[in-house]
Amino acid sequence: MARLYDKLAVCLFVALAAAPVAARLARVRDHALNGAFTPVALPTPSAASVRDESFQQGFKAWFEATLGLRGYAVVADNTLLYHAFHDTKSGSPVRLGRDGVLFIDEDLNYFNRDTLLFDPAKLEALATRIAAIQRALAARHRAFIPLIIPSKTTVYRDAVAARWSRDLGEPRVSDLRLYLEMKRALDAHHVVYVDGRELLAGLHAPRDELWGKSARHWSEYSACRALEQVAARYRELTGVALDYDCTALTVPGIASHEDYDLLRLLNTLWVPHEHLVTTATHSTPPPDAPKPSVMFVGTSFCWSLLHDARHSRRFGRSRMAYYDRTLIHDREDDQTPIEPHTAEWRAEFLDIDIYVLDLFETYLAPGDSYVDHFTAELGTELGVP
Amino acid sequence: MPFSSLLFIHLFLPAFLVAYYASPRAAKNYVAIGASLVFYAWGAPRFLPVVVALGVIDFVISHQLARTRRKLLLAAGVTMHLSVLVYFKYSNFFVGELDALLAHGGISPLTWTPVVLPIGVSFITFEEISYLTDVYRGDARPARKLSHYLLFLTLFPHSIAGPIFRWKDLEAQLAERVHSWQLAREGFERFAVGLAKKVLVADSVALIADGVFGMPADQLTPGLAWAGACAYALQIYFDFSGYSDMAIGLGKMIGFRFKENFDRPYISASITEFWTRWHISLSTWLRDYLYIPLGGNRRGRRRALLNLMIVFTLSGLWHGAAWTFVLWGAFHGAFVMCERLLGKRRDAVPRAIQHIATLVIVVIGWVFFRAGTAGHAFDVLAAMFGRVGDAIGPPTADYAPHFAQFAFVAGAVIVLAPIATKYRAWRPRLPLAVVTAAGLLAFAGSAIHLTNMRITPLIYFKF
Repeated sequence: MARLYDKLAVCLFVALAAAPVAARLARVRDHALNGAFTPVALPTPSAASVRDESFQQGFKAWFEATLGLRGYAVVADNTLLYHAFHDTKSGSPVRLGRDGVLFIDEDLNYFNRDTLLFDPAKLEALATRIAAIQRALAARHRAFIPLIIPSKTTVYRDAVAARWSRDLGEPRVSDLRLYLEMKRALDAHHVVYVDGRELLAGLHAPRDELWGKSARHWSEYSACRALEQVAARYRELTGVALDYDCTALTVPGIASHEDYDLLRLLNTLWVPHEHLVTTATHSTPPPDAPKPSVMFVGTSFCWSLLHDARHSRRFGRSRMAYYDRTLIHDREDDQTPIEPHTAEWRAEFLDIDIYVLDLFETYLAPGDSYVDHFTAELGTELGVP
Repeated sequence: MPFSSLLFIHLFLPAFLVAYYASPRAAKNYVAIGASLVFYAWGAPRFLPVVVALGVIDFVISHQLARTRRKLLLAAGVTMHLSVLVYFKYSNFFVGELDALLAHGGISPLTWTPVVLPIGVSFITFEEISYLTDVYRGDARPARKLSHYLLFLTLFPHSIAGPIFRWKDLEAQLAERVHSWQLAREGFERFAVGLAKKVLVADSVALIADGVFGMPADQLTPGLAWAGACAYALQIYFDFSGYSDMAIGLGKMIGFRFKENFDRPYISASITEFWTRWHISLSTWLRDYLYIPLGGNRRGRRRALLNLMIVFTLSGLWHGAAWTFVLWGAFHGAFVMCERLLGKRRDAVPRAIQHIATLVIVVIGWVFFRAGTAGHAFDVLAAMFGRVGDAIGPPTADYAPHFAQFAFVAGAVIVLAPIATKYRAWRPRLPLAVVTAAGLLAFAGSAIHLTNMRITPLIYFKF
């Protein structure tokens, strides 16, 4: 009897150890994982690759990426961490705030900063350049409009749990030394811009309408309201009227996206996910309305701006430059790296009627960012110092 | 390939066990050698030929030693192994220190390509030295078969992070050992306990330790510094004892019975006792092959105290080529000396105070062990003893998520609770079914967690 017990126990242990590989060999259906996973190829061994251990590293990466039952393990572990400990796994960029509000670590780091991040001289130089570009383009009846986009920690400040917050007092350094300094510099140079943070605070709309479950991004409705302001600034700068309207509309949300698990904890069971999202509808534009071309330059917030701009049918050619080095064409999956000052760059980046420069709060750090690069590149082409 | 890796648990281990048990009795050692060589080559392919060559040389020398008992031959063998250890482990350190001295004199630094430390070199070297010494002393017979000696050196459950084996303890088992389902079941249960200690506790409290030791000195407060030091005390215990549990469990799966390497060290009432419970294979090795040859207690009290200090300082240096490890060793050595001087007068101190004092000393010692530099260690110690930084630290959840806090409390309870039974005959015994079920749960839970988490390398791998 004792021997049978021992045999059974050993068999169970061996079965547990071998189960993932056996499941993979038997092609047992795994729990689907949401996320952007890069396929890992099985490396070919060679004397040199074994000696320098690159084969071992490659094999380990391949083995872990293709392990059977991985989906079940990941979902089970995430679910336990979330419900038993109210945590996300260590190393995850998503953090849990109060009432299940999700934040991304970069925004929390920004919220918790206690030092001035940039050289005031660099900010001054940037504001001077932006003002000069705006003036130069306005003289050609075109617009260059900076758009300050708030971080989620600004909009959901009260949902930042105490354990994710440093006690820096109010107002926080991120407000005083970054946001307000940027505004002061732009105002001092008479730059016409859109303050998305002020805009959203003044809307008095339900917060969930402006922001979704995503740990970082605003809703398409918020993007629409920002574009409404962009249209107003365009008129202010060029005299050309561009009527832009937004009506909030709640529609079934996208359950999965290759990139979403980083921001929505989709690989965790029994977490309130986004089943409804707020987007915007637009009236039909008059047939004779001008259709200026538009280019959005900046962070992933530009995606919702681009979507809404295309959805509105108010614009002619619409493009997005993701961090000014990747061009998004008509089809969104048609993305190409692009080098400044090349013929292709000039064809795509110049002669645009409205440039919207995304100044995302978390990344407001003049010095060596896409904002500096793009303004320098465009400034050079326009003959602006 | 750490034991706490998906590759080991889900591929290497089941594949090895199937091959091992499917092979006839006479071939089992060869299967074990083959698997051990693959295992070692996976992590240190360039050092494998050195290990095998040293094993062959040892085999030849040991037979000569058994015949001639020539001290010179023993000295040559020991010097060879120490040279290997010094070259691979300490040359970067010595060159770095020399460069610092040269820089003081305005001389340009030496041209030097840093040497990569092969895994397990410190453990293997000590095993080789003890083998030659035991054969020379007549305490052990030389290996009859080269395959037995190579298996002794490279046997994968212990080859990269101990425990440090003695040839005389394993010789008989290498030639003949009993395989049983009961032993294999116990092995799996032990392995599961070790895996859970490493994956669920050590890697979780490591977040707290890493967070606190990664903070600038001006952000540290006494509470934070103590939390970080205690978290590291838990991390290193669950990490290394977990590894030893896994090694012992793996041994049982293939019929070996290895000696224990840990015996609930944090229930010690003195530093001397601590060293009879912590990394037992190292402390007994140092006693038998360093302390006693230095004269031990035989040359008077002063010399015995000096010998203790030498042994502990070298023990620190064995752990790592850095002044922090030397300080850690000397720190422990100083307290062991004090305890030796106090003798029985220590018994007058209430037992609770002895336990608390021992824990505090051990935790303080770990600060030297964990800190990147001596200066960093003293910054953390200053914070532990009252210095409050004037800067605001990071948010708590950044370094102490709830699951890490839970692991901290659970770990503390696990290591300290046995104090309650230390002075009584009563020992709790769990029903076998509960032990097996807990083992299965720990194994599955750890493997699941491992699939989802970043793996922290075993601390003792770098030694």
